[in-house]
Amino acid sequence: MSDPVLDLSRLTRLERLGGATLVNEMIDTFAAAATARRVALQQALATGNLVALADAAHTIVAGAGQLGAATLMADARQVEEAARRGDAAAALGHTPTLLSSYDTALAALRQIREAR
Amino acid sequence: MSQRRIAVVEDNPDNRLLLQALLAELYQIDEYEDGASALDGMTASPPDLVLLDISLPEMDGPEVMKRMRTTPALASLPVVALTAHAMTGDREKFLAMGFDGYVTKPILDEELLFAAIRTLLPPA
Repeated sequence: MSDPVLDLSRLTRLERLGGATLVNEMIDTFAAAATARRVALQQALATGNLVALADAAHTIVAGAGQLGAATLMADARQVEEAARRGDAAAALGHTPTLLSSYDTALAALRQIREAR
Repeated sequence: MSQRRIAVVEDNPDNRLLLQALLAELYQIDEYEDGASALDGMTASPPDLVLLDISLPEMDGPEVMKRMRTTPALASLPVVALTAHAMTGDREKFLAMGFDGYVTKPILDEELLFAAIRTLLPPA
């Protein structure tokens, strides 16, 4: 069964593809972009800017999915789609959950990175 | 035999990293982070195929595509849309815009990407 925070089979697949180096580089790249992406989410949440919120959430979707962070990817998709259809209550209301799942996924990825 | 060249136009470094890992053994990869530099670079040195992100900042993928089609050196290049929007009808929408193929992100099944490329760029 896959972990709800991190689908480790995805990381195994990446490792088969490009070795530990690829997995480490992908985690490092994802983590390096996190600060700016979190700030963009928080600013969009604070100002209620749905376009900025959709764009910020969008930047997380693919990277999260590629690393097996399925919950984070789903939360980012949910915020992006709500923001793009102009549903402010749903988009802004789910952003704190997205920020929380972002932190959880990053912590799990960092743990894996440090253990390697 | 010289390797075929694929231009990857993608602003997210994590996506570029994965595409590089997937494709670099088979193709020469030219990376561009935004539409303007991609148009300049590809016009100077046209690739054999373009993987073009839809949600680029400033000049988005469809706009890059439109400008490519009016640039003689790039007009006939095959272009595959890369998008994290996986909405019903997107595929048809992007093909109607003139894209030659469509791949969704995250790329969880590499074979779909390879198939889209092989269709447009058969092995020499």
